[in-house]
Amino acid sequence: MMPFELSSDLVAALVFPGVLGILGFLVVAIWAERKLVARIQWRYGPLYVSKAIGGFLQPIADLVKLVFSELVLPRHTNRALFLSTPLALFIAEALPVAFIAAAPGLIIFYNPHGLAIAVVLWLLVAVFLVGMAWSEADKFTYIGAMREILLSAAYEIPLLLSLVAMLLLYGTADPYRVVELQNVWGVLLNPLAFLAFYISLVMSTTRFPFEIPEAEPEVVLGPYTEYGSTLFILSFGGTYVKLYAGALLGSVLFLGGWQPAVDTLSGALVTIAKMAALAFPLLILRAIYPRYRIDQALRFGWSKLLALSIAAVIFSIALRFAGVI
Amino acid sequence: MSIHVKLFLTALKNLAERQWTVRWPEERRDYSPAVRGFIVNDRAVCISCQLCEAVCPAKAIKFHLEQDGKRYPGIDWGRCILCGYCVDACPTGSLRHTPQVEITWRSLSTYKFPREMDPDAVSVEAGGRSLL
Amino acid sequence: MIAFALFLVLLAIALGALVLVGYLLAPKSPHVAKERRFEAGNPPFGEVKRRLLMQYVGYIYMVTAIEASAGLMVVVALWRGVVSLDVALALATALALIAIYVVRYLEKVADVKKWS
Repeated sequence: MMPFELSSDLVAALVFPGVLGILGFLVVAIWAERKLVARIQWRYGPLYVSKAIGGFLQPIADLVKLVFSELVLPRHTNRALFLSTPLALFIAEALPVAFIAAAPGLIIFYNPHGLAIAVVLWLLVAVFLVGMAWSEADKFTYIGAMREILLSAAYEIPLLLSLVAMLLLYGTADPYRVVELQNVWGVLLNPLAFLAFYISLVMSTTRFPFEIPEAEPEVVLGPYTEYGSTLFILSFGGTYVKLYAGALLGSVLFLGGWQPAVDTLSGALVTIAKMAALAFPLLILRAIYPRYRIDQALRFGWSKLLALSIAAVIFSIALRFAGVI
Repeated sequence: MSIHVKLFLTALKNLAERQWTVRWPEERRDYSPAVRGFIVNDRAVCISCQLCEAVCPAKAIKFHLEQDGKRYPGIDWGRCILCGYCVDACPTGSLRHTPQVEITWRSLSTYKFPREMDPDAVSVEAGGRSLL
Repeated sequence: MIAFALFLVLLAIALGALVLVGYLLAPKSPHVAKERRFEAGNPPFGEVKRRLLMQYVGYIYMVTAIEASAGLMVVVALWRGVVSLDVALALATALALIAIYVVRYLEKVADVKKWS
């Protein structure tokens, strides 16, 4: 239907779920977070750069500033690992995006079990983060890495179980079939699974009530402490990339993907709108909640959240036998 | 569950509002009932143990002699950071937070010598209406 | 497949170029104090690697024990697209086992004093 239909996966790799989308989301999300949180707290937020458009160029100014600040490589670390782990972390956090379809034809790598692969890759990111913290060899990064391991222990099983609930309900993990099956959105079919998934998303992107690994008043920046300059952008921007991947997965699994639209372009726009709707509450969480202690987060994850996700699986088995889908 | 919904609604309300200047005291911001505000002392329970004075990181609490011959804590509100350590340290639970965080005085003398934390005896003014 | 490779290579090139540009263009004035380990302004002291926080290790054991069964559920869900009665029963048994396991050990795991 389109002249570039043959290479629509190239477009996907370059533009929307791919590289440009990720980098653009980084800029927009950081600006939007600062601005929204400022409004909630009755401040103005960044206005120094480009006052006319609400300081939108502030993240870019920060980027330029960080690129031209000195890159310090501490002497006690393994320099090759110190340089390469942030890169690997950023790419690993971007990898799940490749297996999720953003619109008809707009997928980077099609696999009939794509969504399951995406979730497995998502869960493996914590390993890179811990490796990064280990290669930095610092007391704060050590504590941050420990907290990251423990927090991932708290969210991984609810996340997997909420995914199991949705896969059981749809009977497939094909990124296209999953969307085609959603005549009623997944969030209405199984709200329990959505709630469990969403809270796990908050935990895995370490948004605010669970911002435990990089708690600034306690451990300077957690696993990112030693990094400055461009490596700081790569390591710290990684959490936003994870948020992007999570919002994409959530909009495909629970919000009907590109559902009302049928062609590629409008489908992509619909998906972007749904991703924005999913990411918005995550961005304003910083202004709403205080921070849990690590033991509170673990207890929450292993009691209420786990019970919720188990209930979600049982609920979708029941729905399946009732013949809803 | 309802507290989370309320938190989100408050955040959205603040997002939607354009007017950020509060015409105090006609307008008030609403705070959570759990906010750590003005600290009051229940004199009937207070045993004058001075633990609150010892634990205060800002050295805001000083004890003073009252008419009934006992010593009671008084808070220097220029120093207090509302950290709540004294409330945690209090062995009898006589110190407690109130939700009132707008701590203001009309006259300097009551501010400089705030000897009273007793909710019954307090007559500190805050913007025309009683503080408590 | 080409698109996937392109995605990875492009991302790696973009990020690598960012680091390289910073490394080449930014001013360099190395100093011993800068290249030390960050210890909040103090000179580095002692070993970095310390003992694990023991009261939380139980959670790690639990996650390694339970995540395998949760992963098996994903495999089952994908393998048999349509849920039949036996699959549903097997899943329900697995979930019940998880629930029993967690209820049985959560109290004990959360409190290091109960370990013995």
